[in-house]
Amino acid sequence: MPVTLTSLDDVKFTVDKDVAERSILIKNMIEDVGESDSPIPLPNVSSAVLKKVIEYCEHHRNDPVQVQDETDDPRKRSNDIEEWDMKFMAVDQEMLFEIILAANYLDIKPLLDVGCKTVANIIKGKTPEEIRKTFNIVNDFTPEEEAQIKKENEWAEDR
Amino acid sequence: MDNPNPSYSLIPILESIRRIPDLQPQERRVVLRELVGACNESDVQALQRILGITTRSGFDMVSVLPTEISRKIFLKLDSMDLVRCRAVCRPWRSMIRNDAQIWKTKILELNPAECSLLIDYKDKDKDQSNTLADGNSGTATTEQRAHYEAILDKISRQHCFLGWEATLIRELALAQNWKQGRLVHESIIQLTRDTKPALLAWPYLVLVDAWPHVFVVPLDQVQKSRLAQIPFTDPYCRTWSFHDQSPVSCLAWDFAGGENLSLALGGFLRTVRIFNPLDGSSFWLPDVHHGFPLQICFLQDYVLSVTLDGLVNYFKKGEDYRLVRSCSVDTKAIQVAAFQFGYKLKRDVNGSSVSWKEAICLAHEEGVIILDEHANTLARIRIKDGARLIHFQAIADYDNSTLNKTEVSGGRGGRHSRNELLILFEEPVTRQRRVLTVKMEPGFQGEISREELPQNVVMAALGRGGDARDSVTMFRDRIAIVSHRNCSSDLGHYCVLRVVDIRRDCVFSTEYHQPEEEDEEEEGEEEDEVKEDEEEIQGEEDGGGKRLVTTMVMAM
Repeated sequence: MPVTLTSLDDVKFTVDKDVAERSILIKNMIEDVGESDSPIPLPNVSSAVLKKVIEYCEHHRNDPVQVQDETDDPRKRSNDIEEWDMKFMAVDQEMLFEIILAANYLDIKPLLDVGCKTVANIIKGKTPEEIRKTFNIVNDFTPEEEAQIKKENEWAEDR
Repeated sequence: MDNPNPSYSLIPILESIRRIPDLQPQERRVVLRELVGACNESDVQALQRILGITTRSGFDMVSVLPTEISRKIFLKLDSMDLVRCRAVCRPWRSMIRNDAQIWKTKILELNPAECSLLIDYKDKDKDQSNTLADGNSGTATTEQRAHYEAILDKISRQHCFLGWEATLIRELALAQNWKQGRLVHESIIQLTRDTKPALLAWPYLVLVDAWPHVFVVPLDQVQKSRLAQIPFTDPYCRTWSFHDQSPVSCLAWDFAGGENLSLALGGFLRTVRIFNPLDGSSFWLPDVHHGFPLQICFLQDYVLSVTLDGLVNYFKKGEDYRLVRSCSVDTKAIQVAAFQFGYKLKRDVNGSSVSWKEAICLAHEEGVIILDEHANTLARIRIKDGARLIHFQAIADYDNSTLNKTEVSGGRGGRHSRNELLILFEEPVTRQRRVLTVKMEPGFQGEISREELPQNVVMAALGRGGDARDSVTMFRDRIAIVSHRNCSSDLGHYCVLRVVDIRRDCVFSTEYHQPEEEDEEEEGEEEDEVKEDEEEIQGEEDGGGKRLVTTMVMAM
């Protein structure tokens, strides 16, 4: 039984139920509404992003459902990303953040997790200046603050 | 507007735009709406770039993503990345720094076996030690982690707790610097020629300098150039002024009150002042006219002052600290200390078996003599022939419940309890300093149960003897040594403070060479400056709430 999803810009996507139900939000909606042909509106997700999200859900349709949030267990924390996911996440930053927001909204934990890991991997090993460049962040510290911070982080530099 | 050669069709438009400041606010908004409406997509992007100079644009995750997602991302970072992220921009900094949970989580990720915070705690609280000791695997069970968390929470309630962030950074800096073989104790003390660093007393370095000022400084926060630049965030860390003109001859911290330390200062006015650094109150021990105090020791229930004439006076802790007994000991002792061991130890004295726990230990050049409160000899520990004792320290974890169990079972009962005498001594020929551990446990036979710590690094760090000007203090497994070199006036004053952790095989050291231009005439001025600086810091603290502790470069 296919499910129809409508994006923010009114584009309709028809996907298999098990694919759509990777999203806990959609799963709960379907459970609440019952079997119905009417499309499910997703007013927070644009068609471009929804297309990506569906691509992810289709690839992972047979994965076991993640019961617990991985980040709850710091010891299990690992930023290793599967190869397919890595390629899937090789998008520009705007899309990356859109996917993360959509995954959060649609409640797709594994996708949110992969998104966060991707961002974390971008940050990893970078100096503050490199991070600013990467995310187009303006350094808003005063020179005094900056000097103070530099001193404070002295030991962490020159690895 | 910046276009140097606008085409003629542009001129009327630019002229109209220049009139915008003259318009009413509402009119201005209409114009802006028109303007933005007329822009195509690339114009909007250009506009964003222009605005980007004054506001943040782009895809800064902290501003784009909801807080809980940014937080998730930060949690996925290594501690070191997190430290660098604090330096990116204000929103990142405040978000990371205000989230104590992030830092706490990162502390939980540390290997408990390498976390000095937990190791310290383990030392102090032996009840926790059995489970903590299993932390080496690095893959702790959920149960173990809950246990660490409980310990961390306990630690965090101690008054001296620095906060999760500072604590983690301390751990990281320690590990990082140690890994790179950098001198970890970058701290350099501003020692003047009159400084008496002999008065090191864990956990704080107490510099009695330029009397009547007493600097109380945690050993791990001693900062580079100036003593006065130490962040005085620790309630025990500050300068105290005593105006009774009595130089301090000895001092000791009392740990029996748990987290509420008090400091005893002995002076040449034949008195001992018990001082509470938290509220500044002080109390004089009754003057018993037995000569001036050479050493002060604390037992669970007593304060002992050892006088120059070899009298050990027991003062009962309480409201009046009354003198309960005195006994006479050998006046040639290098060091006199009293300890209460965790086990009752048995010993035959004059043909009858005595069990003892509290004892006075006298250090002579060739060893330690342990006496009971009536100065009867309980045990003698001899170091090897020709060796010279420098300092000793007892690790005595007293706990009545442990004691009772031990007595009932008549053995160690598998419980971890450290009761050891650590003796720092000098080898006969090489004059290499070494540490001897004597286990003060049931079955202790005076001279039998002893072992030398074999670590080479530590041995090297302990240095060789021969420099009588070295000041040494020991606290649990750590030894702090201040060496003075080239003390002649033309070469200036050269000091090395080494802190050696004999169990963890770590050395933290620092060197200080006093600049030559700092002549005696200047010292008076210097002192005033120091005082001013200190007041400034105090002021900042009052005004700005809790100051950031930025100098966690070293450990302990």
